[in-house]
Amino acid sequence: MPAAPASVSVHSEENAVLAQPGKYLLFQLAGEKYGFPILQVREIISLESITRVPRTSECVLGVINLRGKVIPVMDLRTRFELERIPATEETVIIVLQCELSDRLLTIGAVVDDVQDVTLLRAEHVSAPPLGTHLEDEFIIGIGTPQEGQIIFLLDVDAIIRFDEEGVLRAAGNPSANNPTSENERESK
Amino acid sequence: MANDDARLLLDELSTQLLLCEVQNSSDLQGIMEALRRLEDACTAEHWEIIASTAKQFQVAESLDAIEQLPSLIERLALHCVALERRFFSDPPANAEDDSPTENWGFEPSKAEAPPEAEAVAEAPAPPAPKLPEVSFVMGGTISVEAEQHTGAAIRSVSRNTEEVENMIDFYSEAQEAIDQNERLLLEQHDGGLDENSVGALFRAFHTIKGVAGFVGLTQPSQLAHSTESLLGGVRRGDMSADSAILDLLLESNQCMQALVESVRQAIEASTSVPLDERVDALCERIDAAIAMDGASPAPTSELEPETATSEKKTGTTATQRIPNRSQGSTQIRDTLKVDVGRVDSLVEMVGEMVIVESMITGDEELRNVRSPKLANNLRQMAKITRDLQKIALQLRMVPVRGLFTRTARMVRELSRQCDKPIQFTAEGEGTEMDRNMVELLADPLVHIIRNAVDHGIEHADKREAAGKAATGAISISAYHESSNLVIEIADDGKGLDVEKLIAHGYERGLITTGQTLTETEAHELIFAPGFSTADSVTGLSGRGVGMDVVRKNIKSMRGRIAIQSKPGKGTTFRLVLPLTLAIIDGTLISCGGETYILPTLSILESIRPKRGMVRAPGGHGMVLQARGKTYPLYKLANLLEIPGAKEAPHDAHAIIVESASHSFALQVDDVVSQQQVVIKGLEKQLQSKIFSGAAILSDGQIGLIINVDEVVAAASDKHGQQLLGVA
Repeated sequence: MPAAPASVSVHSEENAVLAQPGKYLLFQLAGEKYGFPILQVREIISLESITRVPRTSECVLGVINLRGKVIPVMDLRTRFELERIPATEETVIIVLQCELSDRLLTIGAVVDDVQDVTLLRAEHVSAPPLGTHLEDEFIIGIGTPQEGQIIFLLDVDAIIRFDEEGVLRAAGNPSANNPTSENERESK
Repeated sequence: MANDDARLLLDELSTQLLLCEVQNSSDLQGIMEALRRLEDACTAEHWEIIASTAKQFQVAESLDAIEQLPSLIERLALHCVALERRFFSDPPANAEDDSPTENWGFEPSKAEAPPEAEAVAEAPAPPAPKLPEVSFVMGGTISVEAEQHTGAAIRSVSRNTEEVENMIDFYSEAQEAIDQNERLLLEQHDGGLDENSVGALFRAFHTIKGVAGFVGLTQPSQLAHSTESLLGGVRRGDMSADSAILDLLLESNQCMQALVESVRQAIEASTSVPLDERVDALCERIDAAIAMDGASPAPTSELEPETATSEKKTGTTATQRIPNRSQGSTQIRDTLKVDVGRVDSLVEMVGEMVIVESMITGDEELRNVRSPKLANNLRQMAKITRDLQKIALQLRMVPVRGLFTRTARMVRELSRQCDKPIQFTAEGEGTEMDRNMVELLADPLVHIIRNAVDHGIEHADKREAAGKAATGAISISAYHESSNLVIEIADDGKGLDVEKLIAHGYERGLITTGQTLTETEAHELIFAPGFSTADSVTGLSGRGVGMDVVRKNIKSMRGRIAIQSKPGKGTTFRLVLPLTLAIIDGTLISCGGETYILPTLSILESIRPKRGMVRAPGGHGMVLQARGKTYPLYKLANLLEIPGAKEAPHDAHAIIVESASHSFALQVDDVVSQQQVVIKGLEKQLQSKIFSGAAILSDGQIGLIINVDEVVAAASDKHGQQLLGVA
């Protein structure tokens, strides 16, 4: 339940990260629309042969050879604790890049379908609503480019962040019920 | 350096000088070494650190002392120079004592006073002028009367390869410093010099002076010395860094460039280095500037006119001869400093190209095209790719010389500390290794050498009693063996005492009673954490850390270490290392259709077990018996949850693997091939310790490299035991 003080502070820092207006790559996952900041997307590649890596976390499908570079590939459905489905023709790998502990990290994320790139203006971006519990650590904003359309804006860093033992942080929000973090978020 | 250390060093120095304990050139070298360290500590960068440390200690006195440091050092340096001259003006008996045993490290004596040195100067050495009496106060007063020996100023050095290499080193180091200076000076051309630049320039000229002195090049050394004094004055604030000084510095740098260039030409043509007339004039002008500008002239400047005059007396026509290499002339190759990151990405790209190339040449459809032209082009491409790969990998290779020089210096220091005379020899200094490995190897070498000096080599009296030469011997050698680099460190000390080792092993609980150890296994005990055989803990070693670090570091480089030791004869450490960290010899194995890579270096042998060789005591895993030894047998398919692998051991292959902790057998379907693979790191997200990396195979697929040290751990954890069916 309530996490140790140290992790609380870490968590509140994370909440300080909020989705910024800008261009987003939109993709689909189990019927919902998500968006990655376009600046962190390196490329989109088709689902080619993935080399299985035994004894790794469940959401890591394996590694691929991206023009000579060995990069890990993660199943975003598993990461979001959604049901796994067999790959379709639309299934692609979004190659993401982000700086993690001063190192440039490249990682592939398997998604159901990639759609397009949308510019989200400041008025279209809002903070994530409270009370969502599943992926709210990953979701740092809601994009509504037009009425009735909802895009969950994702924090790439949070998705590929790992703890000190090198274990990917579990999905879900360990301190979602923590009043401090919620207050913090409200104040934003 | 903490101020305490600095004070200790200074105290020791002054006492030594006071007691006139400076016996020979090696003492002098010690003093010089200490001075250099002190001076380094006192450069602009460190000055604040020292001062703030001193403040922290709240010792007002020491702060004062620290503030006096630079001038004290300069005075000390002056004394040393004076002493040096006096010593080298003696018949070179002292130098003779040292030179044969110490062919390494910084030796002012080396270039200047080999016994067979022939004075090239035609003019007979003039009577030595007396150096003005210098006195300095530090816990007492001492005055040293020193004679200056001018004959040593210009001499030829013994003709051997080492000297030429030293010259080449001088060239490249000086060139680098000059380029840097030029950049710095030109940047500063408008405004004055800022503090950092002065510090940087000072260090650069200091380096040139040191190296030039080492190789016996008087003119560059002289010029650097004058310039250094000038910069010293600027740094102390005795004079302002106005444009006149700046111009003087630029001129000095340009003159140095000319000198260095003439050294290069001389080396290439195997001729003498001509003396440059401008140097004396320039030095005089610099000294004049110091005398004029400096409210209190820099102490070192007193020495300057001496050097300059002596130079003139010897005659400007004199030249300094460059030692010849016995075979032909030496070419200095221009070097280029390149960002390591760029080289790394180049090597990576070339690695990728090699893979793509093999994909193209191996392409079925292309093979069916009957075109001699295409076939020819493909062959050509294959050849160029291989050559390119070879060159790319060589880019990161550096000779082990630097590492050996460091080792040599350490042996000398330790030998003095332990009062054990030791002769050090190094072989194969030109052997190349991956640059990234040099640093990883430094620590292990320190520990091995320390152990050799402290535990290995006996004291002189004991050695003589045992019928050995009083002087101990430590040798280090490097050579290539197949695709490995071998480094051997041998001492002729007392060797490892197996019984003592075993007794200690029991004591520390590293072995259990009733366990019998072979000699090799007993030797291996010294690598166990917390193991120390020293009867008493000394300042050098015996604190129980060290040798386990050695093995750890060597393992992390995917290397191996072995000990050969004979009681009374000595101990040899043999390090077998891969040539580069970027590539390993891999053995490709297949299991259930998946391909994995085992580092060939860790494979002892591969066998096809016959029925009966594998036993499975119910619920306790499996064991394999081969050549009279019993190994735990792990099924890779179980360990890595690979479906569809061969079940029965006698259908499969068993690979006996040596890991850091123990050897074991790994059951795989097949051994596919052996090939060199370029290692790619795996992201932490994979959190898969059992793999140390990955490699892209010739078909473009990825092969994961198994970390054999982690296999044991993986097999022993709960999950692994479950997978292996151990109850």
